[in-house]
Amino acid sequence: MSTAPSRAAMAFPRPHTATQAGERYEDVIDLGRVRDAHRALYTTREALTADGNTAAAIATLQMWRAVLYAGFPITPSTKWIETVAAHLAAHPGGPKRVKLLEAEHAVADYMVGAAAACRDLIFPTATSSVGLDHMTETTRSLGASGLGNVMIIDVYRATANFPLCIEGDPSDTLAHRDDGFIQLCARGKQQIYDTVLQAPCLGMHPEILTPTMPGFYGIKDSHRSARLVVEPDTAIHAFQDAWIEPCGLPGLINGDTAMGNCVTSRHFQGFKVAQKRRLERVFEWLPRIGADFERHFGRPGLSFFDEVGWQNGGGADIAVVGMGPDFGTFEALRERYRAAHGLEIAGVAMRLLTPFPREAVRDRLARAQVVLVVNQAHHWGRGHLTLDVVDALSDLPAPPRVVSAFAGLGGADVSEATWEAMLDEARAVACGRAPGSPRVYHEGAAL
Amino acid sequence: MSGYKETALKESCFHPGSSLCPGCMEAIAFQNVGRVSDNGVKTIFTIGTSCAEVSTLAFPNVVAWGRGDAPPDDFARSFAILHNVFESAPTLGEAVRDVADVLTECGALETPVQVIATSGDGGALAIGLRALLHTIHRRSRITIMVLVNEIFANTGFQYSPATMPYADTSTTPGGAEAAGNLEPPLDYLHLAIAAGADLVTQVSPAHGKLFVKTVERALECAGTAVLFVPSPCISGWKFEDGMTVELALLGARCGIFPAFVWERGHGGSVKDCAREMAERPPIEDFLAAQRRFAHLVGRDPLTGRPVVKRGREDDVARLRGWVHANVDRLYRLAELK
Amino acid sequence: MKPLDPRAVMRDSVLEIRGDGKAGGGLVLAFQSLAALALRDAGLHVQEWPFFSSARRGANIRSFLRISTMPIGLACEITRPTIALLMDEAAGRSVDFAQGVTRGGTFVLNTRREPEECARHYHLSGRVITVPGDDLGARFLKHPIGNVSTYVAMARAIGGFERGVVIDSFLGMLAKRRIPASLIASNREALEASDQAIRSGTFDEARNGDHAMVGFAGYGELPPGAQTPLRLARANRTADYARSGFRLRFEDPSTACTGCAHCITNCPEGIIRFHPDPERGLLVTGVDVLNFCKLCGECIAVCPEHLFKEIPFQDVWEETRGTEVVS
Repeated sequence: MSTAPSRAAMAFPRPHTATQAGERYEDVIDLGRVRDAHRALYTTREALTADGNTAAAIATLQMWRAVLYAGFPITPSTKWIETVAAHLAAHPGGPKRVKLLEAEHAVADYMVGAAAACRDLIFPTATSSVGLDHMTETTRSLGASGLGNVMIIDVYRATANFPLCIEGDPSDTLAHRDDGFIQLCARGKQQIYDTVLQAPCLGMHPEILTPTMPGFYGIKDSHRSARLVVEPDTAIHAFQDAWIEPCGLPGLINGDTAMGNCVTSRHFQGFKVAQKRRLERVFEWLPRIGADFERHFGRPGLSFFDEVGWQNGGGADIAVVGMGPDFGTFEALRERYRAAHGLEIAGVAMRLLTPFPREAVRDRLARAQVVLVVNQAHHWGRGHLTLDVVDALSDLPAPPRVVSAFAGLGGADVSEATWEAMLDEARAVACGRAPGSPRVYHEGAAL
Repeated sequence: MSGYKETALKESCFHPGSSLCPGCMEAIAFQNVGRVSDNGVKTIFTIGTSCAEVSTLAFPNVVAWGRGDAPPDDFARSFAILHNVFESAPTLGEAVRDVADVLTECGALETPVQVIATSGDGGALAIGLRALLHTIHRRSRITIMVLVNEIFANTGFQYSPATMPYADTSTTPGGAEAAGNLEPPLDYLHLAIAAGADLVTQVSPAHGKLFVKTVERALECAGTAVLFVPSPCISGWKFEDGMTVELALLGARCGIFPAFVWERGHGGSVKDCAREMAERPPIEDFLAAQRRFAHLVGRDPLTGRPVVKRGREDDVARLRGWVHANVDRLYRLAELK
Repeated sequence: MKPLDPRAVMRDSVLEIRGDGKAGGGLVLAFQSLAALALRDAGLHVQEWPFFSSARRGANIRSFLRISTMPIGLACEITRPTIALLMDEAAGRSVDFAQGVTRGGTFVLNTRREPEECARHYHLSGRVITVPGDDLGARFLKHPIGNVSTYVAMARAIGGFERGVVIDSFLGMLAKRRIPASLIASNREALEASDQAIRSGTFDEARNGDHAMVGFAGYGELPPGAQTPLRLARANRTADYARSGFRLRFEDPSTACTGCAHCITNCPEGIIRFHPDPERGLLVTGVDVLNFCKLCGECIAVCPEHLFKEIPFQDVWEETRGTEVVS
């Protein structure tokens, strides 16, 4: 056996600086080389037809900071990893690699190791429902890890139980509200693409350093195709590079450091306080990143919620709070319903789920008479969204009355008739009837 | 000077001040792996939740790792350790390896990196068998070290799939009426070979020179090297102070966990443990030193020699039969190429 | 200063007791035994628990006990005990076992030292009770472990238990664990001898500010992910894990060390001192006993020249003159 090379022959003196979390060796990783090795997918702005999974896959492939694509197939997110694999098989030779692991849990562990190894690269994956549940042991560690360079794209699907449903409702992402991730909801192919491009700017911000979970509805968004405008890779790099600075904390490769999940109970609370504080800084930075995105690309960037129908002065007879593609059906019938009943109707579609933008929601809804909250995920009580909205409104001296409804559970269709039935209920409350218990609506009927 | 002595002169990446038990074999393993890995290559450890994690890494100050008294100017002597949930160590290590490889291929990283993933037998063989076998299966170029103390020591000495027959654990109690564990242990050496490892060994630091040699070979291995390290646990096996190394040797020599080294393409060998039962020390010597076998074997109050307890002769005979089959199995496994 | 009567505290409110010791030293068993003893009185309520941590053998641990004539609803930690126990001198080096103890409280120490010496050393004001538990354990139970004696001394500190009941309660617990009759008999001897070996006195040695509570100063600026620099363990004085009363010594007056390196290779702490030697390869010169040696004994076992040994050892306390109260 050959003996190990002697240290003198292999010494690598490198400049290093002390950080709060250990020593960082400045020039050990030459990120410029990774950037140079990137092979552009698009050199000009182009319009394509794409479904949601493809839009998300293209966005992750265009980032020079993403080099390892770990994944495991699960409906309805499978096409993300297939798209990445197909692209890389067709364009061999670049630095990017697909990494197929044996289970989602392994994917999550793998992303911890990879993101800790180099904190300046972005490690994306896509999963869904039980896949996300299977990752939970590690997503809960990741939430507090400071590894904002992890991005789990969640393609929403009803969580598994008896009965099992493979279609999209946001039960999975809403069951993971406390994992510690920044949870963003996108609707429509363009918003999916744009959100995936902006998410790492938020997660890797030095004041935030929190992993991100952008998501969109399974089937309704993942499997329906529409027009998608893709930006040239160079423009994307210019946008991201302006936001993503070299991480000030050491990684495993460029550091002399210990990272991990073991803390004495005396300090645990302190870390939870710090984690919450970092998460809350999203309120400050998300609008700035969104505005910068709009400056770069001419499309709206990240925001707390999409707004529709708000008049000057901000009043409304009925304000709808929802999320996801079914909100588009409401948008389509809003004007007709307004004209028929002579009411001012407005709405917000939530885009930032965690941390919940409590103050912005309160200010937007403050002058509504009735707020109709449409929940699409199973919940033990009045609905995930309802609880957050009611809490947001509770500061107001005379808060609007809240009508809570459920529709589209398990990805069920939310028809125009269903929307009208829910609006009718809100209208009755606006006319003075007391709000009843939340009900499930389907095909125009309250069940 | 021998390689063994030369290694002793090196500096470990494992520092004093951990809260591991006095005489912990895991600490001895870390000291030595830490010295061998001081070879001019930057070392990164990954580790799953275990005694070794909670006793050496808990924030704020039980961080017993790092080379030198201060962060070294020589990057090759810098050190990093990542710890995460129970089963994670091999997967974490594989990820670090892949990132380093991608960076190297782009020309972004010019200095080499070596990765050592550490688990306990609970982490690697129970909750994490899937992670262990798949990382081996993917032939990740890392060293996986599994510290086998035959129990879940961190949670208070419960049964693990590596618990040897008849051992008393807190979930397989032994006593006047109870036999202790009756499940034969998982054949992890064979599993690691079958999954695709290039180097598979079962050597404890008690076999000092062999241990140093196998760790050196593991760090040079082109595929996955898997080092199973028999680790007598002073608190879980319940033996007297100062007997850790002695029991590791005795357990290996009497056939409970014989020293075994296997390399793909070359086959392997059983070391320091005779195939013939008569040429091995009697297992009673091993059993009598540990209170986890107090329900089977005691000591003669006058001579101090091990004595099988009345009514337990059949149990000890069956255990002897298992040990013999175990040795024979390893000799046959060594013939695999 | 007026000594407090624990029985009166128990009657009027809740008697709070705290113990400091080392994992594996029998502290938890001593407190469980006291709880069982108190529960024999149908008029008493108890709450007993150890501080739960990942402490390994030899690390500091704490135990808590509340006793009252009224049901106990308190769930918080005990920070102002009436009775404080120091089970092991070494455990008292990293924590102040008397912190927050009410003036006039009771201090119980497992030690062969005199109560007065302890009162002066630790600045104690109140009743001080000592028992040489490790010596008694070594004599009757072949193991230098003081939990049997400490239990008896603590029962005395609480007061009001009949001597026979104190002994029977403990032996009853052992019988339930199917401990052999011969061992139960030697435990009885140890219990009885402990009762005889208890010494006590009342002293007033605490100065202003001694044993003050430390306020919470905030968590400070914590790094994301609890990520830390390395080498922090150097601050942990793990030499206190060593069995009390003993210490490792390396002696090589005739330079018999062969440089075989076995002690270095097999030292779990990596604290054998040596330097390269042209003849032997290396020459062992000592051990960092004061800071990190847990006295595991592996070097003693592996050294072919028998250059390491375990020696009896007791810290020398510098006497500070105080005022003795007539007890």
